[in-house]
Amino acid sequence: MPHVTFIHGIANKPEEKKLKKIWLDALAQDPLNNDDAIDLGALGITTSMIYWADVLYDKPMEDAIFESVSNYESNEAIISESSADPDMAWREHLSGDERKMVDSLASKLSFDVLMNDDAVPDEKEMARTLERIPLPWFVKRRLMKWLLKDVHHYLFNKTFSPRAGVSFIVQDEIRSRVLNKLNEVKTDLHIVISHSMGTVIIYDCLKRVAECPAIDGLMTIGSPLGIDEVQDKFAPEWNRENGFAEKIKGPWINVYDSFDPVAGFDGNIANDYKLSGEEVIEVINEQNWGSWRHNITNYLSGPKLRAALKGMLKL
Amino acid sequence: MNAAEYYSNIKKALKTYDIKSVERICNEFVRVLYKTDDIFEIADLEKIIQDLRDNRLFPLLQHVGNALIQTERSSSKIISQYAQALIDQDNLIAAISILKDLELETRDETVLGNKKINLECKGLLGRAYKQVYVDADNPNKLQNQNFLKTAIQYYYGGYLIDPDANTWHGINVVTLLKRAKADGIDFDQFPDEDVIAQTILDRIETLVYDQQASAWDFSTAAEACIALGKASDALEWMSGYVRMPYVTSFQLASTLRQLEEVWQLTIESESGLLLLPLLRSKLLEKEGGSMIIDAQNLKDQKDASENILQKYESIKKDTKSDTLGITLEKVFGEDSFKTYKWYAKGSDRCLAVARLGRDSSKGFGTGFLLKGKALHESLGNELVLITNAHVVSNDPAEKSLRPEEVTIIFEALSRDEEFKPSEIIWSSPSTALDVSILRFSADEHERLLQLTEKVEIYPVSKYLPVIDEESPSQRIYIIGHPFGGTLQLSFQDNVLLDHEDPKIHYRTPTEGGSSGSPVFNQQWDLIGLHHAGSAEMRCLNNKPGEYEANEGIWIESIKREFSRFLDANPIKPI
Repeated sequence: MPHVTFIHGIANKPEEKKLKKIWLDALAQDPLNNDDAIDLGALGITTSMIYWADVLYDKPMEDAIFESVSNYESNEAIISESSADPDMAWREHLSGDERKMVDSLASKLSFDVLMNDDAVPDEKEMARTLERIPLPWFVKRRLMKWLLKDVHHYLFNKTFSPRAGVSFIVQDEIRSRVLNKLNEVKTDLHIVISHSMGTVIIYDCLKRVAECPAIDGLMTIGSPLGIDEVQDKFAPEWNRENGFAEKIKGPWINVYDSFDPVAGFDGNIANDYKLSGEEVIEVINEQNWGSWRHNITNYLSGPKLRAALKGMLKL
Repeated sequence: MNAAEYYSNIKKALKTYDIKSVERICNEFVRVLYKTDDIFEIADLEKIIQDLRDNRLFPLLQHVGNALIQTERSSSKIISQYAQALIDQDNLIAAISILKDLELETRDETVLGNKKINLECKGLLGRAYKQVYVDADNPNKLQNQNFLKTAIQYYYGGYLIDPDANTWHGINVVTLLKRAKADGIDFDQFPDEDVIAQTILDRIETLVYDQQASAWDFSTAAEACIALGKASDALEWMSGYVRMPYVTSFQLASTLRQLEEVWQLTIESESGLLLLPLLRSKLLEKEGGSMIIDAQNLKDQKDASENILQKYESIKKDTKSDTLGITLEKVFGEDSFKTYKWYAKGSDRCLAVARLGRDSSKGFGTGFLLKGKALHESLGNELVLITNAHVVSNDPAEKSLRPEEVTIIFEALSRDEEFKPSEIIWSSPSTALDVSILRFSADEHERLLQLTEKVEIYPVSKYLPVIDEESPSQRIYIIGHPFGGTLQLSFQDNVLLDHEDPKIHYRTPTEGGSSGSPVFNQQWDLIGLHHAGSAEMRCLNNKPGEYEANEGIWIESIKREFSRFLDANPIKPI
């Protein structure tokens, strides 16, 4: 019997059980009328969720924000999730490699235009970006802040206290959770579906953590793994010619939407993670809809993604 | 134990559809009622009765109600619900007698609660007389006409007390006056039903505007639209009704019955075409929803499926409903459309289900077609029929039909075409996998191919649904011929309990004759072959004890054993 392990992406999330249900419901529904729903429970495929939002966020998202799959990660949900943008004071204390990496990443993604709460992007930039990512500016700004914070704290293994009395060494804690969950799986076919920051985490574990168990297939969705600044942090284990994680014993399929602000800059990651110089990752460019193209529930409804997943699960 | 504790235990058992436990608790409670003078809170007793009613456990409601009334622990509310249980079990005359007394006793409006109960009595009396008329099915007889008139009088009496509030009584007046006309009966003492229908519709539109409309208001407005010949509007209102989360399968079943039995809607009429598939699909989607579909209905629906889809598509495309004359959020949307598509897929699964018997008049069991290659590659596209060994076998110990005795009919495709199997390819006794795989002669197979030309033979799921505490309960669907009669989609009490190769346990009410039915997961993929049910089924996976359950055999287990046989004993393709 196959098992699918999910790992979620940037920003705060509902509590683990509810988040898993949202992913399962998103796959089991058929919003695009393609008659291609994948009800994993009905098909006898067990699932688990690697949950790490509580390492970086105070408390889970409230129920009211995600009452249905269709409004999960909607603009409204993003806006109402927190009363204010995340505190970015941590950037001021960075130096050396950390500052270099964060500044470079911010600059590449035009974040600094957004990070300055008072700045108004010039018309050309706004037109270009709006066309590309038709999100309200303040929504996008908030999302980018979360992204930058989550990526930085994980890749630099920062010590972070998401709430009073609790402190984590971020990468150590999340790696440990990944290993625990992966080790619990004792089936003959184990697939990991990762989204956004979750793709960075699972790749990091598979490539750089010796104790990490092997899996039979990896699906990365809306991944920032194509960004140079992220790749650089995986060295020395990573290089372009041998970036593939050998612990993936079957296919690695990467799905992206070119309008997804997290993945869109370089969604075609096959040339960045070769296996002995060969491009082996299957890359799927699948168009989402709505203004927030990074939305996992939209991604999970895509016909190409579903067909690929069925193939991985041998359904 | 006090009544609140009994109530809590019943509620807990109902959560897992453990009807056996509910029965046990109720029986124990009834014993206590008779043997002790313990005093129970009336409010708690009413809650128990209400819960039994909401779950359609009418015999149990009657059993407990009897004891409460007999031991003088009842209330007007309990008596009226007891009468309702009698109506729902077709004990109409007994119900009428009780309700008439109660209606008289509760006429004094100065007594707290009387007004509400009295109005309810009028409605239930109307309902009982209506059912007497419908069941008699003979509008020409004066006695039956009087039953109908009495029903209308009770409903109309209730409506007149407060037309703004009692629209449910009012719409029944409309329905029955329409029915009277359709049956050629003229009651000139009542106002014009279209005027009443329009008044009710106006009133409910106001309630919607004021955001005070309940689920029943939506259903009532739908019926008003049927009366006024506005089928698309009726669909809008009915969609609003069925999508309300607190509408139970009991309520949906009542509405469906009203449309089929009283309005006599069929798929041929515009209103029937739009409303019946919607209600049936929502009923099946609801937990605890069950339905028996007559093969002819199924056929009609299948024939009209293109038309239904087109109509639904065109209505779905409107972004807002302006036909209702009010600003009402679009209610017939993706959700209803998808439920219909899911239901249509389930209905299609009926087509390859066969009734097996000695002759075409009475069934002995059920069977279903599969493409041979779904079981073993060497069989290719040959159609084989799967049933239980205790339905068809060459082994005299099975007390089943022999293959040469069997007549096979695919009722949902054609009632007139009969098929005979040529042989049993392989069988496993009822003490093992309880399966027989039948094949047909070349001529019979050719005929079968023609009959099933447009039928999608079932996809087979490789794995059994997941059972874990974190995930919601998986649902199991069985399609069969209970009592050897009409084709039934069994959708009640359908919780997957456990599985252990080769057995699947679930709680679905299947009756005699469902043996050999296909068992599906909630995606309509085949997972097993139904074969037995017991009140004392031994638990699986080394769990101690027994429980009430039905048992199916996993199709993959059948496939595995059959493959072993065929690998050792290859057969020639047809």
